[in-house]
Amino acid sequence: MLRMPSLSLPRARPMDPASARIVTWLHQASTIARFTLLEGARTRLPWIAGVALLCLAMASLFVQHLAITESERFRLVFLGAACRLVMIALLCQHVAASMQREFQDHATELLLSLPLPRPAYYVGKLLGFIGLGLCLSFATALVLAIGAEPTRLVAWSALLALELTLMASVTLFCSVGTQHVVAAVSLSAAFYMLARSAGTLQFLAHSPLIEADGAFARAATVTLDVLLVVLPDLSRFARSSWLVDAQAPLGALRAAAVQSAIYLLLTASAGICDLKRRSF
Amino acid sequence: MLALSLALLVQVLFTTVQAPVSTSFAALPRTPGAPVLEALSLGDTLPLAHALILGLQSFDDQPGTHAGFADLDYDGVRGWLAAVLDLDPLGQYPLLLAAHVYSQAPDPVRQRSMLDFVSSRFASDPARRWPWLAHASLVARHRLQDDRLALAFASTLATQPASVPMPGWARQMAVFLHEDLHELEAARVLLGGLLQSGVVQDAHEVRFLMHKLEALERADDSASLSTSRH
Repeated sequence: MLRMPSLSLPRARPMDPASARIVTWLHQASTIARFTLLEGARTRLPWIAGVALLCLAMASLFVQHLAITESERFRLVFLGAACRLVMIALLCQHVAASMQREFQDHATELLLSLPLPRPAYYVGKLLGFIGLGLCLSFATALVLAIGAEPTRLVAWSALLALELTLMASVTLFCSVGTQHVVAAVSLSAAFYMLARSAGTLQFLAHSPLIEADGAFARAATVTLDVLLVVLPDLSRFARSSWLVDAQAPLGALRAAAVQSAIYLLLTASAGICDLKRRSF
Repeated sequence: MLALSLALLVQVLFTTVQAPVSTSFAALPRTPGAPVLEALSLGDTLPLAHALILGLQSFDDQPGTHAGFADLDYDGVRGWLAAVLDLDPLGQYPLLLAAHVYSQAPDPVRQRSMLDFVSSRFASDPARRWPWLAHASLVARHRLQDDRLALAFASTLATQPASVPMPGWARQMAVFLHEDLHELEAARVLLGGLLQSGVVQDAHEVRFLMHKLEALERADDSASLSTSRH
């Protein structure tokens, strides 16, 4: 005789207060993240990203037409590099504008007047923006899929997603700190440019051709050294050569993931500290 | 609406009456150092290398004027080609421009400068760069009429190890150049070495080269016989 499996659910054990607090916290953060994603989807971000990708794809065909040889390589390098820059610019501007709007509409004040911990709010916003970054990197991968070798494209897109994640976290921190779109975007852009050329700047600063006799030169070199220790080296993220010449090595992917995780932790801690001390 | 139409009209008029762009040919700027270019690339050298090489390629077409290769500063061109190749070592574009485009200048000095560039950059990546050196050999032979230079390039190709993937004809160029220069002994030695190295696999090609080797040996013997008679 067949026995029917029991359909009754096991009785839920009552949670201890600490676990209940964590579950509530996570639920609140995920709700904020969901609404941040929804905001991204309902603003013009998807349209702007789509039109930008389409324009860049067409411009890449023009570049391909200009090249006498290696035309497909030229097209992919242009498209990859341009898409990376445009997607980062779009995401950073969206993060700064979204936070600015929330501050100006007093939506943040309203949310924080509810029983919502500030860290949960910050982490929720961060997760939402990271989700948008993942969507943008996926859209970029779709555009690059015509012509790029699949395994190289997957690795390169993963690196782009990590770069977008890192930049979203930096821009969120700047937006909460400055509460001003222009300042936040400018700071993020400066951070991005410095982080992208970190290795070369260090090489230039320690070049034997440069005489570091003066106090100013020494101070500048030390400042640069300190700055470069704190900054991530973004030139190790989505290199064009990993899209067209050879697949990004696993070590590079691992290092980029670790770097992004460290920076997420760093900027989120700093941002939460800043948000906690702020009075609305 | 009136203001819009007026503004548009003024814009069109302004563009029409604007002074024409200068028709004098601007000189090629000096190549910045490698660290400067690296810094400008923001950590991703390929897009910068491609932008620079496309800019160099179209440099002779400037607004209102078109310059021939004779107007170009070839030292500058060579510097930019080298800079781009340093930024993108796997790219073949600078070598193609040097071997096929800039070597077409109607000036032997400029042609030699480009062939020398190709030759100097060959050793760092023979597997990818052999076609350009082979072409440089042809340019030296047929454009410069300098068989010695052509032979030097072809000999570089011929002496590459078997691990460098290269078609047989590229390795055999030196044999035929030696033959044309009546250096039959050298041609015979080179061809014998080529056959012995096992680089040539195709049976037909091996048979053809064996016949060639026999012909060279016969010609060499008769030449040495006639020399001893004299």
